[in-house]
Amino acid sequence: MSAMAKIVTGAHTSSLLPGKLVLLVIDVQGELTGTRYDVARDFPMPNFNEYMRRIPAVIAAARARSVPIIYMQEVHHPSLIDFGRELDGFERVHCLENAPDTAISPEVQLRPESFHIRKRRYSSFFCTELDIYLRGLEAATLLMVGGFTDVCVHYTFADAHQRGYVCRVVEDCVAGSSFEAHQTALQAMEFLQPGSRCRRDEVIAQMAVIAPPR
Amino acid sequence: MNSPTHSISARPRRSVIEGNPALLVLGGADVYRPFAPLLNAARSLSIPVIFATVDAETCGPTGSAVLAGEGRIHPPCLSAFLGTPLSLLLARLNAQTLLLAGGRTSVEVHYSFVDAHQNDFFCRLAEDCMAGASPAAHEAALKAMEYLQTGARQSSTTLVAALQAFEARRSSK
Repeated sequence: MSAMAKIVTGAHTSSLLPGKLVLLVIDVQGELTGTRYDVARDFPMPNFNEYMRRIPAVIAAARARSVPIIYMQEVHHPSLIDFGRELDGFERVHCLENAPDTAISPEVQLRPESFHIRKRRYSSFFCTELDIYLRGLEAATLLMVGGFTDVCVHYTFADAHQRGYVCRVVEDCVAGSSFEAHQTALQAMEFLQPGSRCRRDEVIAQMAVIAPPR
Repeated sequence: MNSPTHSISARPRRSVIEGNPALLVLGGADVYRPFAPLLNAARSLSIPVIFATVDAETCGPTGSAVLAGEGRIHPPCLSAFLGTPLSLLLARLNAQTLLLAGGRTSVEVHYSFVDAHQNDFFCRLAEDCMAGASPAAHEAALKAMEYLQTGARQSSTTLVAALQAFEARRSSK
């Protein structure tokens, strides 16, 4: 009980990437080359794909130091039976299994040996095998990139935080449903774990120091 | 191929209460003046009430004692679902709509809402019975929850009226 109390008060103020590190690439799917901005709905935030296109450099840095990478992919059945309440709000039908844009973006280089988890809800922990992989990898710190900052990233972060992981969100490698939602979600994550917001350059520099190649 | 990807744009029209309601009371609800009428309405209409309390205290300083037959959970984390039998309780109660009052809007409320949402519950907030870690965090969390479910944000007065309408429908069956 006291251990859990410590976790939820968020006292992870040690180094940037303490303990065993795992890179979580959350829902980087579809075309990253163009723009996906829907002017009519003001959705998602402007320059969304620019944020996503910064991710491959983080992935390359992780691979160079043998940091395990877990790719999350949101999918839904074409029958729509597995959407739950996801169509009761602002989001529309998305990530159908048979749609080309549902595939993980080639730029983030999913490999046959990569850890790859499909999910049908926002949090990467919800009814997935993520917890089992993380235990097997003896993960202590989760480094998160991808989208949306205010939905899948935020709710994955909150679940990871409540399970005792040190959480780090690379704020220039995540993008949200709107710029305002992106910013307020980053603030909410920082509230849960002070020091959790970091930037790509410092993360890449730190990875070179903390994770020796096997 | 009959993919509905781009054809479904109409939002489902939802009522304040879909199916059967239950009231989830998070910590500190009692400090809000509109909370007592909401709790009393739920109780007088035999709507299930579940109190989430961090320890042996009642839900607030003015003390709405938990009555016999009412649910009580002790969340060890932030979400009322994590590490508690809340899902199971709600399933047994055959509740589909969860009304939330109390808690910090941007913390316990937001993460409980997200888990309820992911567990397919309809969620409605008595937004005058909660406050955020800061006023800005309160407003941001309300927006984030409204993004997940249109109609999530409600006043306690609207919720009381919806409970009364629910009871009227139920008793006319």
